[in-house]
Amino acid sequence: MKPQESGGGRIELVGLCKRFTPRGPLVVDHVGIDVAPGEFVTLLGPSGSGKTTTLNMIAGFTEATSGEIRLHGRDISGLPPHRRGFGMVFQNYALFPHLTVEQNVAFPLRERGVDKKETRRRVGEALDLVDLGGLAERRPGELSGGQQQRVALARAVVYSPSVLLLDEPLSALDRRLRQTLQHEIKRIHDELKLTFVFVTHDQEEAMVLSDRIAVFNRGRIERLDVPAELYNRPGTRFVATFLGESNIFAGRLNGDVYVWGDRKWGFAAEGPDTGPDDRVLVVRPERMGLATDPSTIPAGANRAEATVTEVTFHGAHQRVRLEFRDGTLGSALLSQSTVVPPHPGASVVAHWSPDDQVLVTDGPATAQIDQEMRTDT
Amino acid sequence: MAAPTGVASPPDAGPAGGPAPPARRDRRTAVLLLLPAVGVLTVLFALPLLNVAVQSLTDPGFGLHNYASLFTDGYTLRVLGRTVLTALVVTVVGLVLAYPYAYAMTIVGPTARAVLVTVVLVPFWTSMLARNFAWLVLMQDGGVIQRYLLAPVGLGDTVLLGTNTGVAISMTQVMLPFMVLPMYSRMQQIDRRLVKAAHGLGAGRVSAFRKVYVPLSLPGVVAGASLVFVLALGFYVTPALLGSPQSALIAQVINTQARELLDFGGAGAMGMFLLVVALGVLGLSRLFTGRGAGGLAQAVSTAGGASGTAEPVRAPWLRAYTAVVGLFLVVPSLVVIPMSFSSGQTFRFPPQGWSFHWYERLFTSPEWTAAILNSLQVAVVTAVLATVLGTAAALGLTRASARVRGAANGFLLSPLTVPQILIALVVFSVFLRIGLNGTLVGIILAHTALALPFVVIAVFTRLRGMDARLADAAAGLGAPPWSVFRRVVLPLAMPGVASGAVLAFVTSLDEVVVALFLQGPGAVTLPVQMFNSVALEIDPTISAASSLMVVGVSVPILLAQVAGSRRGAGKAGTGKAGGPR
Repeated sequence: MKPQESGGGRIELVGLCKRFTPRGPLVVDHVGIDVAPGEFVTLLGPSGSGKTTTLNMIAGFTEATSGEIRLHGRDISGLPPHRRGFGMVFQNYALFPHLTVEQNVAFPLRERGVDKKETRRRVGEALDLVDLGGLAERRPGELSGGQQQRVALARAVVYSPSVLLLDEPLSALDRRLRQTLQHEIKRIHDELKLTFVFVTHDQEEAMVLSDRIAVFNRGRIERLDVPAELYNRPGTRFVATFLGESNIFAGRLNGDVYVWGDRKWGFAAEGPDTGPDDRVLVVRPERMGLATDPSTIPAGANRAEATVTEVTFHGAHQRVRLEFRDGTLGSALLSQSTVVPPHPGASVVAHWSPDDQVLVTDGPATAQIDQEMRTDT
Repeated sequence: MAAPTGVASPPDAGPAGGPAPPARRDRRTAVLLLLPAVGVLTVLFALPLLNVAVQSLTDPGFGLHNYASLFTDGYTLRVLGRTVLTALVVTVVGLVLAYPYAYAMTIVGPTARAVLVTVVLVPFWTSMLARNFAWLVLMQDGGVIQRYLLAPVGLGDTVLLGTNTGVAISMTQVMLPFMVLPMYSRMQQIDRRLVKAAHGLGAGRVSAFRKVYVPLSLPGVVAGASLVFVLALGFYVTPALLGSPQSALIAQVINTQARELLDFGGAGAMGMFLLVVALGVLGLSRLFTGRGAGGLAQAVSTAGGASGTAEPVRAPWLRAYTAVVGLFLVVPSLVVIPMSFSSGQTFRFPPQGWSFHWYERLFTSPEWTAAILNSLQVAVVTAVLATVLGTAAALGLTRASARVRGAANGFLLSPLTVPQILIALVVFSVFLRIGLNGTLVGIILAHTALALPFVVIAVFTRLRGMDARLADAAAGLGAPPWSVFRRVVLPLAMPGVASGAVLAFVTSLDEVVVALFLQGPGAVTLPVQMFNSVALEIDPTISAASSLMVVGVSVPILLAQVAGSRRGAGKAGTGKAGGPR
């Protein structure tokens, strides 16, 4: 029960399933991930997608209906939570209100029978790690949200667990604090070299922090890959819309060209990657240019006519909301240096390089994603 | 008996975001934790109740004749009519007195609120008998009311004692807290800016109040009114002490039939009739107020909350009205204090001379000291039993699946919805047969069943307010289940356990109806001794006992309230949710 190997633990999920009622739907549907020691893996998805249930099964709070959870190759799915030896950080901190900061952090050490002197040393170290050395005597109620979450972090790492499980640890904090703590978490991960399994619905947070991201949709892992790959080649329409924003054109691949209405779009030299013909075409807003005068569009660019519906200022960039000819809604991000943006109502030609487009499979009912789940600006 | 109708089961945790639904081993533990309390209630309460219901249909012969005579016998009909009328009057008058008072409680500053809350809580906690005794003193022939209130308006010959009017007046005062607290609890939740908004939208001051505030406060009004009506229907102590056999209410008749005539069939039929009416009224009120209309227990536990912003009470009439209602709540009880220093042998008030005689007698005479010791013994053992069983059951409730929780919760709280006189009858009829009548053990067992719901509510409310993931966090940090309980759950539940224990202790200490039924030589509790000292003899020692109780209870509450309001934390609200009998 003391997995104290240097580096982190290796967690494998094999065909993990969960139903809450015997005949109910699979809330978690054959999830399989192999988390390498020291890796930072994020389970990302909208609420109800099964990511938190998966984490609860790893932690031992929820029994799996079938499948295995392995730590260093050994199936631990029968072990109660306290015998798994993981560190855990919760969304609402879950600090014990009747204990001081110091007692909270010492809690797991006491449970492990660590002697007093050693406890004091390690609690001190853990509090220093999160910059809270001076607050040891306070009670959780006297701390700000950010401080409380730091205490929770210190408490979760104080006994050097091999794996740290984090359940939306930042979503109760405001935006600025969230960014600070993101760096904090990243730093702790780099310093301690533990395995992190992190749950969030915030795609930006996932991309900033993770080595790999598992995108959950309806209980299944829709894709599992490194952030850049997921962003640049989302693979499915769900990933394309959940991770970042996308202009999505529903047309059809015809040999080497993509046909959308009366438009025919070419591909870069190597041609479209292989796959079914009924994929949709995705262009990220920041890759899209807008022209009022078609003659200014670079040769070889693909284009689509659109009407501007709204222009909003965001500091570093401006967002232009578009309605394409067939009624598809989209947007383009223009950097500040770009020439005067068009006015609402103006007709423009949106254009992009064939290198910047990507084909993704058109999954079912992807429109269900809540807009609010995406924390874009 | 109180009837917290709104202890709704907590919303079910969805699979996403919130805590994980209980695991299978948790649900097994839940059943084990619930079992003792459910078992005890089944044996002490549910089965005996069933037995009385059966008896009402079979004793002396099979059939509905016991019920038929309820509605055909002229005497019984008159008693029923008088009871319903009295309950109605008490409810309506109480409503009129309580509404402005409760409203004033929500708008005054913290210190004034502490006083107003104390004024409501003191009678709530003080001995039932002390208050009824005080009314007896005031209403007797030649008493203060006759001489100073009635005589000046030409009614000098009127004696309130022994009349229905007298009974109704004192019942109104005794039950006023049960009317005020649910209203206050509801009114506290009303955002008064809504009234301002209505005002701003063009409604006049009165119209804004009537169209916005009154409808919003209605659930509290309904909860309070139905509670008081049901309590009044089954009320025993006040009519027994202040009324007369000629104007008996139904509880007195049940008492006579069961204890003197041993006619369990007839008494059972009346009891069941009361139960049906009580359940009907409470059911209707619940239908109307919805689940959210917190029960009395919650109302009491939030009393003293210093939330909300103070506003100067501009309306002078509201100030005066509140003061008058406050005096009505407190002053009658205070006459017991001068009474207790009287040198006379009667209940004459004001006393002619002064002495410590009655205090001396309270602590030296064998029957009074025995009663005090019996009461303490019964209350302590009851508190321990009820706290252990109730805490375990509350822990079980938090871990149970939604269905088990709903059923178990309803069952555990069911004694609260049964009129006290019926509980007394039920316990009496069974204990008589198994030889527990006239024993302290019998009283302890019955009191445990009565006190159990209060502990369950206090602990469960506390546990429910606790972050459900704390136990998970502890387990995730390496604490085995026992350690999770000992180091996290129990310390956090402790305030609930403590207030549950206090509630159980006070419920037992002040319980009179059941103890009256079960009394026997060597098994007389203090409230029973007090009751007998008025009903059977004229023993002014009761005034000393009453004074000790009034002072002993009021001072700590007042201090706690003031301290609470100073701290601004407003957590001083532990109240007795036990009711008048």
